[in-house]
Amino acid sequence: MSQKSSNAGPNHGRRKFLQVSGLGLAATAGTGIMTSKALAKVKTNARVVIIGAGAAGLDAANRLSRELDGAQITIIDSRVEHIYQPGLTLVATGLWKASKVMDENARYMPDGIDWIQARVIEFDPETNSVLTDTGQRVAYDYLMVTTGLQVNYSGVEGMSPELIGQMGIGCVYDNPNHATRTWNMIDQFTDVGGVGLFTRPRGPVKCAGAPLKVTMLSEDLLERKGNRDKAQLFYTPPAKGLFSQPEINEFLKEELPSRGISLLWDHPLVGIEPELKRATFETPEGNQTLDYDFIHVVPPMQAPDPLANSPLSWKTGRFAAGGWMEVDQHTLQHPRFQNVFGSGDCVGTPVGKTAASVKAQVPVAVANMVSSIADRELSARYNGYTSCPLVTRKGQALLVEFDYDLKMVPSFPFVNPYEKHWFPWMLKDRMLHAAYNAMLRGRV
Amino acid sequence: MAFSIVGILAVLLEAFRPLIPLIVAVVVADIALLAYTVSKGQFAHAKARRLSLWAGAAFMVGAFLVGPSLTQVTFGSFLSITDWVMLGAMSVGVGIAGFVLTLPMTSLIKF
Ligand SMILES: Cc1cc2nc3c(=O)[nH]c(=O)nc-3n(C[C@H](O)[C@H](O)[C@H](O)COP(=O)(O)OP(=O)(O)OC[C@H]3O[C@@H](n4cnc5c(N)ncnc54)[C@H](O)[C@@H]3O)c2cc1C
Repeated sequence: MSQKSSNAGPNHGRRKFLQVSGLGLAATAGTGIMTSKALAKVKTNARVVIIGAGAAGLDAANRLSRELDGAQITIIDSRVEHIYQPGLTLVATGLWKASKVMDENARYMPDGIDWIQARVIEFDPETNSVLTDTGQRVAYDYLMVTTGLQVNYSGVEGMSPELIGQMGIGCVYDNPNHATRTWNMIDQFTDVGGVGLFTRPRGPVKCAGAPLKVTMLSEDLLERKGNRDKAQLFYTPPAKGLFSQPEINEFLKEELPSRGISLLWDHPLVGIEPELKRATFETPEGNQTLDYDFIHVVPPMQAPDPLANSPLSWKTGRFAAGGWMEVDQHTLQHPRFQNVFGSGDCVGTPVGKTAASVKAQVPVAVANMVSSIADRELSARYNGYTSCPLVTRKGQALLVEFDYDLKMVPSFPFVNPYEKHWFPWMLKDRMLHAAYNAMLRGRV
Repeated sequence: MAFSIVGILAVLLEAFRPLIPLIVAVVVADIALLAYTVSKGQFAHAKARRLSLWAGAAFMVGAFLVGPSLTQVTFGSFLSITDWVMLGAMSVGVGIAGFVLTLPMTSLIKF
């Protein structure tokens, strides 16, 4: 499918006027996720605004500043520190120090772009502008939305971020402080044992493997401490599956019970009573309560409020409930506001919400935005690539990579994705952080 | 996911970024030694090659032995032939780097 930018936005006149020289844009790879490679910069005086300086935002900023000549590129985000989020599961299970995941956005900002340190509180695609919490209205010709997602602690009654690290409550989402406090709880729990509940909410979450990894690494730690028989572990999925990719789902349905982790199907967590150490689950048989000594709370997630409440979010269909940004799942262009593109956790696509999908999405979104600026066909395609080194124990993992068709697409054909190996663990422990940083610089 | 040379180099650059000053110092010293030994006509003589081969082999065996501990685990975590082959391949890479890097140094030794 190829789609041509109609430049149908309200600022059509100005954008038509934009000085674009097609010095040789982007010969595209045509199929799959692989992206256009700019042969030469596209000259333009377009105002390009990027919202969010996380994984996707920084990657997009670096690529756009390399591929556009003369554009005014602005990035808006109040956050100064950069968190390597894929490392948080290792922090929460005591395998990494929190300092290892801390970094600074400034290190990855390309030269010559404007960084407005504020948060967007309103998206107004009808007037091609956004409003920040400092009262600044920023106009754009092209918009790249990369706001990530919002963790809704209030989606679990009785839960709040302050509780993490107290009264047996842990939550790996989504900063080093929470991960460290979670580690304090897991460390205590694996010393004394008891009942451990590991939850998973309804709806998409970032890195769907993270709740599973926390569960399996906690079990492994109990084993390594010689305390496995002191603990009863339960994993509580919200439906009757553990993972969207069918073969990995089957693998996990064997792996968890084989390690004495009981599966409580159809058990989305809806409330906790921290003082009583009691959790409530909304099951098909009605609400059920379970007592715990440790609980890993994974709250429901959604697009950040300003985006969810804007005209840019899905209004119907399966992604409307989370307020996810509407995009064409292959071109990552907004179907109604065609000067708007999105990538990363904020977009409503059938597969995604990993740094690995960011790595595959951003080159596509950028190539298509550049094509749109140059008034060319949007020919770059995202095929749904996502990946997760599914860590099963310290030192062992599965390298899971699949696409929209839920077909495995292994990068290393010699590594069986259905078997546990040390090699993917080595990647996770030593190489993927470097790959992530290279991605932030728009180099992979 | 497809790999590109630029991408692989970018990842290696990020992986070794904290060591870049050290790496640059070693490479500069090596180039200087290379230039010196070439100008004296004594680069990579038979004895130097033999010594560097031994050094490369030592690097390779060392990398093989410490490889797992660099990832916080022991050989006990190795579950498949793939793991051994990958560690072996990485160790061979380290061995080759050891050979190349020591060759200008061993070339200083009189033959
Ligand atoms: C515990 C955990 C484990 C994970 N494990 C893995 C893994 O093993 N492999 C993997 O590939 N991925 C993993 N991920 C997922 C990965 O980290 C995310 O998918 C990735 O960071 C998404 O990038 P993003 O740019 O969309 O969002 P983020 O990196 O979260 O960045 C979003 C940015 O937008 C900013 N922002 C938000 N709202 C606004 C606003 N209104 N105005 C301005 N700025 C705004 C934020 O401040 C933030 O800087 C994990 C994540 C977590 C939390």
